[in-house]
Amino acid sequence: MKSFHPPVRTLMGPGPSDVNPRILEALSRPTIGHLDPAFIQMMDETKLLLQHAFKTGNALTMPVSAPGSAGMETVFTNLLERGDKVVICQNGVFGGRMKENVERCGAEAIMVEDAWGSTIDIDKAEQALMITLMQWPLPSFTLRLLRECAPMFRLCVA
Amino acid sequence: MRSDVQALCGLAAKYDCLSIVDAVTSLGGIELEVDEWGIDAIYSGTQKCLSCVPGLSPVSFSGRAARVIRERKTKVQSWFLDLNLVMGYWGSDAKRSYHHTAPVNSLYALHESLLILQEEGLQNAWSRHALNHEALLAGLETLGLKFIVDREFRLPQMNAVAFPESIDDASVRSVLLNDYNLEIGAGLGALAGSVWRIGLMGFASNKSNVLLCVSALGSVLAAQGMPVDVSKAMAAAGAVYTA
Repeated sequence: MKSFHPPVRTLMGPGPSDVNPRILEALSRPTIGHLDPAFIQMMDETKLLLQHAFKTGNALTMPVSAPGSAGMETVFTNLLERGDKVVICQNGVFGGRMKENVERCGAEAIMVEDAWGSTIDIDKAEQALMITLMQWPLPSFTLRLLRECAPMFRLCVA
Repeated sequence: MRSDVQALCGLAAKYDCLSIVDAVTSLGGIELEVDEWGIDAIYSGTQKCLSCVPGLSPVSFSGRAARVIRERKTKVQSWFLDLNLVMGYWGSDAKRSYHHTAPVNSLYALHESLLILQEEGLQNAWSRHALNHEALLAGLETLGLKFIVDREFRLPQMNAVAFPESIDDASVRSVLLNDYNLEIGAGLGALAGSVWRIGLMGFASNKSNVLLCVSALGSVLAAQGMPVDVSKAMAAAGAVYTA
């Protein structure tokens, strides 16, 4: 076996995309410890830069140490507890992945399906939310009770 | 495809639910306003419009979502992903103690990619993606390929085109890869075998890639017997830049 030298491709698929040489150069800078004060400072800058990219002031903004699939799982595993309900608007393959995530958290996925390649139908989504809330097991409820229960529901957009 | 995220988040807020948005393809390529749209939780990837190396996932949670996480009655089932623990390392007010070994070098790369985005400016990045998309659109439509998503819902960084049934999907992609070193994406799931997904993301969203794609794909389709006018398609794509 020899060292792996990849062919040079132009990446116009669904990702990964072409990487700016500046970024590859950054990747090759000397490794330091993950608890080194210099590294911690860079982490703080990275959080600020992410807030800029997301256009948010959210303090809880950071990069998960694994690819986008783990980012999805981070969201679901942290926000869901057993018995929660999630309305998932699916118009492509990742809606199915979200359903898997939700069910593995012991929560219930309510799918709102739109044709793959089409946009999410907001009226359908609202109907699903209303129907889900109406199926709350209590025989009657006031608006106030509904609002107390509602945080258990999540609306998920792909 | 682009959905009205702002309206959907408004819907969630109306019913007092948390909203979750998948921004893997959109971050850096198209308008995204986490605070203004009231998005409670969002995740992305580094390898699309940030044009960074794959392997990291930027996430963000609103104050409301952060409170839900803090006030959980049961532990997060994944120790590695448990933000109540992870923030002991990443949180600004935290002791910055060990949780797991962060991918140090990849984080240099992410830092650099975000710096590049800040240097370009978000609005400029979004405009660049839109312009290159228009040029690719002009070229591919002139070749006779149909975009499957309605115009108003298209993501400029992900161009999904249908091709005629007579075309050998795998052969086209293989020739593009082997002869042109150009990778385009196959269709996924229900759209496998009928659609190509052509990305124009981040650093890859540029004029020379658009022109390479139109000329290469045009030539390969012509070789398979599809009646295409490659020079007309190239002119159409080029015209977008001089308009």
